[in-house]
Amino acid sequence: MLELRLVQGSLLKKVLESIKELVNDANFDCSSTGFSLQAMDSSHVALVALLLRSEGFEHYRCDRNLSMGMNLNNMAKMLKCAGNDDIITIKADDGSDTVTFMFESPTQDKISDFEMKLMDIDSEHLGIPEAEYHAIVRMPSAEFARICKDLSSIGDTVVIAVSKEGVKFSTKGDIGSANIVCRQNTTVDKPEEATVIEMNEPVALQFALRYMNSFTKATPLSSSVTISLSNELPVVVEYKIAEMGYVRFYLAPKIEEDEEETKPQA
Amino acid sequence: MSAESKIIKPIAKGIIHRICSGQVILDLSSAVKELVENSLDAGATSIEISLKDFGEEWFQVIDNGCGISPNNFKVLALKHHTSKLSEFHDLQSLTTFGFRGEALSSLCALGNLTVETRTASEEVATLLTFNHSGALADEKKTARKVGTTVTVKKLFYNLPVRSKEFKRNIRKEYGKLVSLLNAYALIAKGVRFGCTNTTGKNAKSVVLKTQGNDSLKDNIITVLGMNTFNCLEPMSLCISESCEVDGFLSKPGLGNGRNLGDRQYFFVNGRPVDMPKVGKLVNELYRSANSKQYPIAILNFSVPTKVYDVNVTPDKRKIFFSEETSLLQAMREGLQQIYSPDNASYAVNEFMQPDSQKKSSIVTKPSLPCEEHYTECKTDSKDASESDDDDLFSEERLICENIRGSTGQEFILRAHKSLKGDTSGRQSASAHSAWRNQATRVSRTIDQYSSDSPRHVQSTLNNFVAVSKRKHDDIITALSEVPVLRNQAPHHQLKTANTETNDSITRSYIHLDQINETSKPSQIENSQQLNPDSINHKSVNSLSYRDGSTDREPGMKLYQENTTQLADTATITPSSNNLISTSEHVLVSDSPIRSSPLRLDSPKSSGQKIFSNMQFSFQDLKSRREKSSSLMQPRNYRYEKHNGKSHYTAATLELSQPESEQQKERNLAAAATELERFFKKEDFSRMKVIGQFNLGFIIGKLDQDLFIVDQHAADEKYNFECLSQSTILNQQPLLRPMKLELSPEEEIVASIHMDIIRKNGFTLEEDLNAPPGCRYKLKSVPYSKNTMFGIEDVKDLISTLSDGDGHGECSIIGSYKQDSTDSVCPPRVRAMLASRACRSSIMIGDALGRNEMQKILEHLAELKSPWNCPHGRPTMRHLVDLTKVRKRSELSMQM
Repeated sequence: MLELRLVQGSLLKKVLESIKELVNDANFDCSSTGFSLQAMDSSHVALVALLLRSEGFEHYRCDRNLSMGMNLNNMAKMLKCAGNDDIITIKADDGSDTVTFMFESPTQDKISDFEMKLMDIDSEHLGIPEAEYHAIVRMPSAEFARICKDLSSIGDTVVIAVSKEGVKFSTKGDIGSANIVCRQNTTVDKPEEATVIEMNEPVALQFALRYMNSFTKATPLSSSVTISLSNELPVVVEYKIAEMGYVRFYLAPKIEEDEEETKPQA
Repeated sequence: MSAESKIIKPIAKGIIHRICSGQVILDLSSAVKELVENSLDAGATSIEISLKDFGEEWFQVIDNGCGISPNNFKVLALKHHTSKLSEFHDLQSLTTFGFRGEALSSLCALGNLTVETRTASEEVATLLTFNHSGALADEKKTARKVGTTVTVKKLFYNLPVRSKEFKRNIRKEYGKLVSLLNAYALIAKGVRFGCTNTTGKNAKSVVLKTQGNDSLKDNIITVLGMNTFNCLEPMSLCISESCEVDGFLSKPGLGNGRNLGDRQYFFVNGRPVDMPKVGKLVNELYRSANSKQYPIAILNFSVPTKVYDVNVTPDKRKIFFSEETSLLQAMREGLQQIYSPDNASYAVNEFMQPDSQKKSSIVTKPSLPCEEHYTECKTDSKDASESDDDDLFSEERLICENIRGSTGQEFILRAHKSLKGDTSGRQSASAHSAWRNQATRVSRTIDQYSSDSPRHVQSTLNNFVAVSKRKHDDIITALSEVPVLRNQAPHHQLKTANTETNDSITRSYIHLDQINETSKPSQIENSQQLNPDSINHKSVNSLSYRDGSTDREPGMKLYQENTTQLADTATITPSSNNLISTSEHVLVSDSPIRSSPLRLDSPKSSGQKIFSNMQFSFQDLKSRREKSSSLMQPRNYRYEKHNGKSHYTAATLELSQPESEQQKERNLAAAATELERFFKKEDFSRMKVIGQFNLGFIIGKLDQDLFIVDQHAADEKYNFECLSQSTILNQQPLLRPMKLELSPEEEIVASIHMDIIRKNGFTLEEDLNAPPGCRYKLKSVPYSKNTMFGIEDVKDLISTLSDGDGHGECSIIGSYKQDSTDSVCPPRVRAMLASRACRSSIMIGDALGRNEMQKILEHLAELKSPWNCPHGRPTMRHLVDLTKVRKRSELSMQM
């Protein structure tokens, strides 16, 4: 028996909006500690890790570990039917092949039940190693989203270079090139507007903007974003979900060792 | 284990016989194939195959080959008995189709075999019956011409499973047999093939009938039809000193190919074989010239017998070459020249109007101008000859009848002629008189000349008439009468490519004679300026006819111009133009005179010598003719001249080497491609913009031709080529390698083509310890902008590579695939680029300024292959030939 009651229903809606573009089908894993998801995108280029800890729910009951395969698009369709301030309850019976989403309006005068069929998805759970990163940048999420959007109109890839002075986003395309530098800035009124750089050594890595743009779909979840970079490791773009958990995106940097550039032979 | 080790013991002879026989004779077509090959090996010139109920009841192969001598009767159908091979190394010098000595014995084992045979040294034929083990069972005398008839009844009746299968699929088998026979009928020169089938009580139906022609060209026409032949282009390729490829291939351009790749025949020294790699190569290269169709290919590889091995499969359809890689490489280079993307030929758009139908029919019919010419002077020359020689007269009448019988076209033409009205009436009348003069004079001079000369002419004429009568069935176009005959000799040569070499030489000989004779009077009657002038003129005129016959539209025009001029000279109204042309003509008449003493001195010298002599004068004449024609026709626009020249050269080739059949074929093809013109991509930059049509098309003018260019397709292609040059595929490593589920076969292909896969932006990781099927993991994928390529695209790529050419061909693939325009890449890459190019291009409906349009055309000139947009739409079409429009408007003014 599973019953999760989330007062901030809009949160779940935002989570779904942020990941459904990357991932089509995924298993939601429920355990006594929380509600989590880990999935690769269809081309195995990016990975999404979501965690909503049990403490964040008003009511959390999970008798035994349960894995529910869901089509995220369908799930998002159902969640769209919930009002922004509705309370969402996720319910599932043991051994059942459906999950029920219950939406209660704040005034309790409207209760909707949506039942969705579950699906069987075989996916291995990947152990994501906790790693030390060479550089960690925390910056306003809206700023990051803006930068990615702007750069993708010019090029395919972004080079994120972290140095003492700040973090530089640069791109090159057919029409020209662009550089955006964000300096370390901790002297702001609101802490979420700060740009903080923690760095062991300078890093410069190149990423596909297409994926970065997908990641920024999670911007509404958090006012700041943390980007962790290391030379040998995939980048982690993390959006914290207030007091509950996080959405993390992982993306491998573009291979640079191949000097000759691949051209389509059309 | 329950299965105990069994004793190994020899199989009984009879069983071996039956087992092996079933391997040699697989189906109807392989059974008949063996018999046909035997007949061909026996030197037969006529092979007839008759089937009863599609071969289910019985089939029979009747030939007129050398027959089988009586001392061979006993061993004829014994296994591994043959006259074609005695030592193993004889395989290397094999020239016969068969060599194993298995066919007849296998047929014995699988059906009831009877053989009727007679050699030239015997008086009666013998009917041999064999039992199933191949031993001679019965022998009795029978009546038959020299040759052999092999009959097999109830094939496969003693193999129950195969017999069932055979009966069930008999139609299919029959179809396979017919297509196989087509292959033999195509390549066998001088062998008459016939195939008939009788079903139930119905009458025989003829499936295949050929004439036993001497050239591949004629075989193609009889087997595949004239329409198919018109779509073919001769090709000949010298791969090395000893290795040559010749044959026919589809012309480039839409509509010339076939929708199925079923008409691809490959032969090695005349043996029909399967050459999948060559076939693939041809198909691939043809795709650049005609993206939607398959080519027809009839290619014969002439290679020394020791560089290939035919002893591979029982049906001998598979062949191993020792130098296959270099052969394919050379083929590729040769074919690329034919299907080069730099040039495109396009069909000239005929400008049609309802009232001009007749006219355009003249323009398109190749031989019509000449026919018109015949009809005109037919009556006159008849008169002329009546007054002269009886023999000649009869000769002529015969041919005249020939012409009458052949086609009704001339009557229409005549009608058209009268339509042309008064202006031309007088001209033609004067032309007639000139002709009459000339004809009488010619025939008189024939009389006056040394006694053997006319006789010689006579005999060759006789000869020729006989030939032409014989050919009458095949050739629908009219042959010519005597005075025309000499003018038309090369033309005729073109038409009847398989006329004997001798004939063509003697005919040119006549031609020379006549030229001499026409020029002779000009020498004698110098005082009478007018007459010889017109005669000279005539001789030139006739030359122009001859040229015209190979050169459809200019010929037509020349004819008109010349008649006008002739009329002018006759009525002595000298214009400046006229003066030039007369002087030209006098010059022209010089050269035959110069050559005439030579000819007269040695009237009996070898044909060869006269021949070369004549060749000179012809070329001379021709070059002069060309000059004078350019003087006469200042409007003669570039294209035409260019064309004309190429056909002059074609005609020259014709004259200089009438011995070579192949050459003739080529020239015929050259003459047939007249309505197509060559357009180089550089010509785009020379094209002048006239304007925009319907906000979608650019009308451009190049010399005297109007072209229509699709503005969107043109710009799209330019953008596409730019994009494919500049687009960089980024490589994106996967977070976790993905398992590629490939079949073991595909894994081998992947391992061979690792570099191509890598070049396309995919990285594979090989795990040698993994079980087959999951050895490869995808480590990184390419992407560009918002398009991501994934596992499906790798699989696509691998399957393209695998059906590209099987295994072991990596070296060639590696080198040529990267350089060629259509190298391997996932189809989605192309689709992606095409869609990007499309979106960024000028659209239909965009109004364009002159400069923009000019720029589009200039862009086209720079492209690798500007003929089609990436989605396959053509960028350019020919609209109209302005000279024709002008000419008609002139004509209508005259009327």
